[in-house]
Amino acid sequence: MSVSLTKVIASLAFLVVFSPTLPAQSGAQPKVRTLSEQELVDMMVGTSILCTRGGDTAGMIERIKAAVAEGKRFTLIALQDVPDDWTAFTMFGVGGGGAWEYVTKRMETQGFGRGRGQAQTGPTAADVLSQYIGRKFDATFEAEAGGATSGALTTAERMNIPLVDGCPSGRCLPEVQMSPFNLNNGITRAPLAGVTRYGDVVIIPKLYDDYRSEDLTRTIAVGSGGSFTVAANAVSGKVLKANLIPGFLSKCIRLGRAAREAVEAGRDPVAAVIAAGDGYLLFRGTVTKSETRGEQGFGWTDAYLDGTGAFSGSKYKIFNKNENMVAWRDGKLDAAAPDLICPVDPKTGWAIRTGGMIGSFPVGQEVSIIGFSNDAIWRTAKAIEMLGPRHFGFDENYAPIEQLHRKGK
Amino acid sequence: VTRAATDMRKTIRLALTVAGVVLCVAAPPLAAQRRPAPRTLSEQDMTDLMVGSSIQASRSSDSPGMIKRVKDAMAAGRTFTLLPVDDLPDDWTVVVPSGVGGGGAWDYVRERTQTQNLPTIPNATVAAINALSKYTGKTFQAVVRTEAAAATLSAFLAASELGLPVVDACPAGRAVPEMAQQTPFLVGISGSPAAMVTRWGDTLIVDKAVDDYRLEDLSRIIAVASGGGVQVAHTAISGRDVKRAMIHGSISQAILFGRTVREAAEQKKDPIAALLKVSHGYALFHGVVTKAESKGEAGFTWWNVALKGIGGDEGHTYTIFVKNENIVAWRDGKPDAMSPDLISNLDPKTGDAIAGQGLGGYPMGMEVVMVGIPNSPLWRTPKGIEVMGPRHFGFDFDYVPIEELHKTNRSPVK
Repeated sequence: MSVSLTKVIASLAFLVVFSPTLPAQSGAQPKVRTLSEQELVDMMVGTSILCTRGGDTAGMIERIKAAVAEGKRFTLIALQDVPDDWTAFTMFGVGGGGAWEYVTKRMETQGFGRGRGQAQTGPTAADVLSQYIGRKFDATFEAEAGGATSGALTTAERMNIPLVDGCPSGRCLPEVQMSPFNLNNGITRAPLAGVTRYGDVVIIPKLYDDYRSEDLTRTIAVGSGGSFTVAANAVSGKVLKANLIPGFLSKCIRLGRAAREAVEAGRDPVAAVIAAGDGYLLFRGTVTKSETRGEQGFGWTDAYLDGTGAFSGSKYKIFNKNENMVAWRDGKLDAAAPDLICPVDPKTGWAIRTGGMIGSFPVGQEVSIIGFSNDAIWRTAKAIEMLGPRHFGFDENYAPIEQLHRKGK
Repeated sequence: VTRAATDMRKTIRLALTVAGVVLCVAAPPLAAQRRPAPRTLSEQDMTDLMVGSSIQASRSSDSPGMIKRVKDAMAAGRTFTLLPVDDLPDDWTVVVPSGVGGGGAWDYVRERTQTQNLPTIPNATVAAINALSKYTGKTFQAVVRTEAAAATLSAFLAASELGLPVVDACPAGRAVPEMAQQTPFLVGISGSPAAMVTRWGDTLIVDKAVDDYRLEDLSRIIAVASGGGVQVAHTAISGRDVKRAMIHGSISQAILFGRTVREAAEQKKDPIAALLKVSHGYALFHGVVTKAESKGEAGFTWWNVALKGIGGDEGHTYTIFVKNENIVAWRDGKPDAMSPDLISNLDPKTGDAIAGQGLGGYPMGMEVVMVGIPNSPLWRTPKGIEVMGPRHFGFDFDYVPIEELHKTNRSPVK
C-alpha cells in the first residue's frame, strides 16, 4: 500500500510541479528504456497474478523468450514521461464463451480453420485505427493485466513504439465499458477498429455510450468464433496521465521477481508476493467444484474451495465472470471487485492454470487466494457502481479489502 | 404521434429543400452528359408495388401498413421515382439499404436501454447510407432495394429523402433471410464495405468482410445486440455491375403483380388465377393453417407450419419450413417448392400476401393459397443454389426448379 501510494503521490507532485514546463521540453528525447529478458519474464509472472483469474504464464514466458531470442527489443516509458501531445492507444481482445457454432463450423468448412493465419496477413486493428483517425501512434498501453500485457508488448515491438508503464484497469476486467476514460471523462472506446480472427475489418466511428462498446464488440466476438481484437482509446498523453494507474508494469515485475527469488531461496513464494504487492492472504484450499458455462461472449464460473492448513474447516466460494469478481468465506463477503482476487499456485506463487474455459478453476488442485486493493481511481462511488458486487447482481455492498482484512492477520 | 408527424413533416420539408437545391445545382451539367429518365410513380403505382412486393416476398407481409406509409409520405409531398436498369449510367454508384434482424435479441441490452431511456434516431436507413458515403468518399446516385416486402418501401423512402431514384432491379427477386443471399455475391461482387446504424445511432463500418457470409454474420450479430434490428447500407457498386449482377425489372414485376390482383378483384375475377397467368406461377396448395410453431434464435425467426387441404386439396397436408421467409414446402411429405424460387402464401380473396403474425408467421386457422413462382436464372447457378438452395438450410436434398417439380401442374385453377 505505502509503496504504491508514494508512487501515486510522487507522480501527482511531478505533474503539478512540472506540467507547465512540459511543452518546453517536447523537443527533448522522452525517457524510454529497454526491458531485460529477466524483467520481461518477471513481468509475465506478475501480470498473470494481477489478472485475477487463472492463466497461462508458462506460455507467455515462452513466447516472450522466443521473441527476445529473435532479437526483438521491448521498451517501456514511465507514465509521467509521456509527452502531453503524444497519441497513445490500446489493443485488447474481447471474448469468452457462447460463440455461434454455425459460424465456427461454416468457417472451418470454408477452410479458415481457427482463422488466425488469415488475420495475420491483413492489417492489424492498430493499423486500421491509425489510418482511420489519420494519426500515427507514439505509444501503446495495455488495456488490462494478463495476456493483454504480452499483447501490448508485441504491439509496441511491432510498431517500434514504447509501452507505457501504466494500466487503466489495475487487474483484468470482463466488460468493455469498464474503463477509467469512460468512468472519469465519459470517453467511449470509439472510434475503435477491430479485426476478427478470419480477417474481417470493422470500424466503429460512433457509439451512444460505452455500454454500447461492450454490447457491440462482445456481439462481434460471439459471431466471429469467440473473440475480437480491438484497437481503441486513441488519447493524448495528457488524457492518458489523468487516467492510468502509474507504474503498474513495474509492480508486475516486482511481484514476479518476488515469487522467483523466494522459490530460488526456498522461501514461501505466496508470502513473498503478498509482501511485494502489499496484499492479503485470503484463503488456501482445494478446488472441489468449478461450474462453468459459456454464454453471450463470457465465461461464467462458480468455484468452491475447501480450506487446508490454517484454513481447514473453512469454505470459500468465488463468483467469476471471465475474472474473479466476488469471494465469500463461509458465506460472508471476503473480497469484491474492484479489488483483486488472485488465485495462485502455493508452490510457485504463479497464477494457477485455468481449468479450461476462461475463468474456470482446476478441480482438485490446491490454490492460494491473494487479495490486493485496487488503485484509488477504482475506489470512487461511481467506480464501485460500475465494478462492485451490485453490478454483477449481488445484493451485497462493496467493502474495501483493507477493511475486510486487517493487516498482520 | 402528432409531434412525430410534425417532426417527420419538418424532416421531409428540409429534405425536399435540400433535394431541390441539389437538383438545381446538379441538374444542368448532368443533363448535358446524359439523360437518365427516372419515372415518377403515381400513388396507384406505389400501392400496386406494395402489394406486388408482398406477393414476391415469400412470407406474410403487411401491405395495408406499407400502403398507409406510402400515402402519408405522398400527402406530405414526397415523390418516388423509378429508373429502368437500361437507363442506369454505367459509372453511377448505387447503394443497397437492408434492415437486418429477427428473433433472439439479447434481453439484457433491451432491459438496460429501456432503463437508460436511450433516445432512438428517426431514420437509421438514411443514416447508414450517409455513413457509407462518408466512409467510402463515394456519392450515391441511385438506390436499389435489397429484397421484396418492407425493404422495398424502406428503399423508396430513403431514396426519396435523399432525392435519388430507385433502380428497377433487385439482388434477391423475393425476400431472403440472409445478407449473403444477394445475386452480386454469386459473381464475386462483395457487399462490403458496409455501414450499419442501430436504432440508437451507434455507427459501425465493416471495411472488409472476408465474404458476404461474414457480412451476414456481422450484421445479424449486431442486430442481436441492438434490440433485434440494425440498418445496413451495402453493395455500393457501379451501374455496370448492377446490370450484370442483379435481377432486371423486379420493381416493374411487383407493380404488375399488384395491379393484376387488384384489377381481378375489382372485376370479381379470381386474383390468384390472374396472378398465375402474369407470373408464370403454379398453384401449389389451398388450405387452412393447422400448425404454426415459432422460435426466435440467433437473430432469425423460425417457423414450422402445417396446412390442412380444402377444396381441391382436401385430404392433403402441406408443410412449410420458414426461416424469416418460406424456404421449403412439402406436399404430403414430398418436396413441392424450394428456395431460391418464390413460395408465396396468399389470401385467396385478395391475392395479397397474408397478414403476418411475427416475422414470417402464419395465423392459426387462416385460409391460405400457396403459389410458386420461378426465380431469376441468376439464382439458378451452382453458386446460387449453394447460397440459397435447400442444402444451405440443412436439408439433405438437391434443389429442383419449380417448373420441373410441377411439370404436370400447368393448370392454374383447380
